[in-house]
Amino acid sequence: MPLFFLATLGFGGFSLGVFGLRGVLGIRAALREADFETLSAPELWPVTRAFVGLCVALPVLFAAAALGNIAWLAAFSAGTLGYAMAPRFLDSALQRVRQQLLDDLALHLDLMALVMEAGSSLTAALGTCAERAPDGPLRRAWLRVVLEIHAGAEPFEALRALDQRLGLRPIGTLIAALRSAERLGMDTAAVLRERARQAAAHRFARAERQARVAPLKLWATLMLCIAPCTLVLLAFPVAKLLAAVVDR
Amino acid sequence: MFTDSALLAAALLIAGLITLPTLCAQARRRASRNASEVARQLGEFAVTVRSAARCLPLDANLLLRAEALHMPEFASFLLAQELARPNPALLADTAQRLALRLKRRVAFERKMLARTASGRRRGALAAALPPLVLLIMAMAGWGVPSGVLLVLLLLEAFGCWLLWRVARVEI
Repeated sequence: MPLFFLATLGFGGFSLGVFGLRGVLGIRAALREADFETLSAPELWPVTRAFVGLCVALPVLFAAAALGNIAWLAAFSAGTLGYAMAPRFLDSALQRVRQQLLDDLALHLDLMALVMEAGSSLTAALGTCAERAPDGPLRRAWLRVVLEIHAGAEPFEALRALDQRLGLRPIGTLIAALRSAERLGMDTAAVLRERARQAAAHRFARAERQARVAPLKLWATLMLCIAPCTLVLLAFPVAKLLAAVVDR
Repeated sequence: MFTDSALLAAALLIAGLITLPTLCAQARRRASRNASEVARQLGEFAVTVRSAARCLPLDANLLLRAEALHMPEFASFLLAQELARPNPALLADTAQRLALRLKRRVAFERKMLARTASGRRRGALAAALPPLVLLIMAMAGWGVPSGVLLVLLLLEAFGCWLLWRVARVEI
């Protein structure tokens, strides 16, 4: 019976590992390619969550092995916590990539504006941006747009698909502005330049906000991480003295 | 013997951790001075290009210094120099824009350094206390178990890393 139980557990763990890893790799690829639409309902999501739970539970099980049956209880609790926290991890990863994408936007739009001011088309600007911009999710997103255009899609159709994949308001308004500029015969480079200026201003404003709370965070770090070290150390001789007094 | 060497190693490690945010701040100050100088020279370059009305190459030394700043916006300047149809006005505008952005970044960096200076100083002082207390306790013959020493070290390391991370705002 224990052998059968262990074999079932092993097979279950192996299957969970294989499918869970596939789910994790899928999420990683979607984050890399900035395909946020896929991440709203990731493939094999329940299995991936269970895999995260398993990854949290196993070290706890080994660390608490000496405690006997309590180790299983601790591992189960840790696994459940891992399962419950997995969407939070995904959300924070998503938020980080979105932020990186928005941070990169100003530079990318500057590059595109430069190419268009030099007399090239929007497609050429997208191509140059995908080729010359520093690596990141936004560059990979442009690369996909360029590939779709090369495959025969209309530039604005490819950009609309990008907007759907990203679901970010600044990108949506940018594409709408570009479409309007094209329709009204306005200077598209000027639109891009203005949007680049706005994106840079947003980035500076965010950095300013972070800078404003930095002193408070430094204070919190001091109080929560560094100051307790001294208190813990000072508690040792005090405890020893108290113990000596109690013994007497 | 083991406890003595562990204590010494812990004290040295903590000293290293304490100096980390200060060293980083010093490096940032140096980089910010460099960036300020590059911005000034880029501004001058923009004026020269505009008055010459032709695309001039950037001084090799300045190019190297600008590249060493690892500023992502420099890609647009390089692109402006390599355009198929050179346009002096466009090159001058791009250099001017890059100089302005660099100046803005330098100003922000300096403001950030000034804003966090007291916090970093307080952090360094507070972080220096545990090794001092440890040494005094060792001299008085009060040993600390190695497990506690490890936890203290981890907590200090985390604290110093947080000090460094919080004081560094990317722009």
